[in-house]
Amino acid sequence: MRDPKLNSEQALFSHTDDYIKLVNLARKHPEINELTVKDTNDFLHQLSTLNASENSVPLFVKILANDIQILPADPTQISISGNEKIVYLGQKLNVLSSEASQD
Amino acid sequence: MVGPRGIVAAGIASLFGLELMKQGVKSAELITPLVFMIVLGTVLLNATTARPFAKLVGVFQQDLKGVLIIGSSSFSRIVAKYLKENQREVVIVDNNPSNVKLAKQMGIQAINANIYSDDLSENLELSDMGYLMALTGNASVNQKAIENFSGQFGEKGTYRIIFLKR
Repeated sequence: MRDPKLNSEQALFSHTDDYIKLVNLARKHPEINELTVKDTNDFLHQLSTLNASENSVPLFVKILANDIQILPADPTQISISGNEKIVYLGQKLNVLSSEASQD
Repeated sequence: MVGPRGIVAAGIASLFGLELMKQGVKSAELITPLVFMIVLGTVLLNATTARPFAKLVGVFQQDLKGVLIIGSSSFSRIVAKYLKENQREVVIVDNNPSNVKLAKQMGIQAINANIYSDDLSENLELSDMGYLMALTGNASVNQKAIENFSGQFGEKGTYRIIFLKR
């Protein structure tokens, strides 16, 4: 079930975050945080960092003030212009930007 | 809203036009086509200007912002609270009264209903909803919710949580 091809476009959040993980994380860290992204590369980098952590699950993409887009399991469906924020459940993380992490 | 605009005026004009023509009133034959032209003209005017006017006065609904969440787990309630704080209309549906009560205590609109047996359209205004998030711990319930509401929200408006074999 971890194969993205086995989950439809209707799958939420990611191909690895299931109900048990979400409910456990909501109990452990019942907070929602936001993370600003600069561009598509930064977006995908931050997303993979958040997905890799056991203490965070990306949920939405916040565009402008209050326009919120549900994050599908396939993040390439989202177009990034540079003013977006990743909204995630879990512990507040100090995620390095994609440029900084390459240095 | 689509309806038979001007049908009363057109009907009366036809009736009276014919009657007046029988009585030999001058230009009575023009009444019916004139009324039909006015009806057609106002319908076209309404159709072409309503949207720009609504945008101009700031009452045009850009997008359906409401989110219907199936399942009121602790995770669902946190998500609903965040969406509500960001001016999204949110409704949670759950068949567990305790979970519904917890959601209501957080100020979230919540309905005690079963998607298998209850007609949700009787309990809430689905026309305000743009998205469905099926977040229950039961894959079958989530799939049923997607099937029930895909007609309402479309394929791009219905989402469900995934399930992994552990």
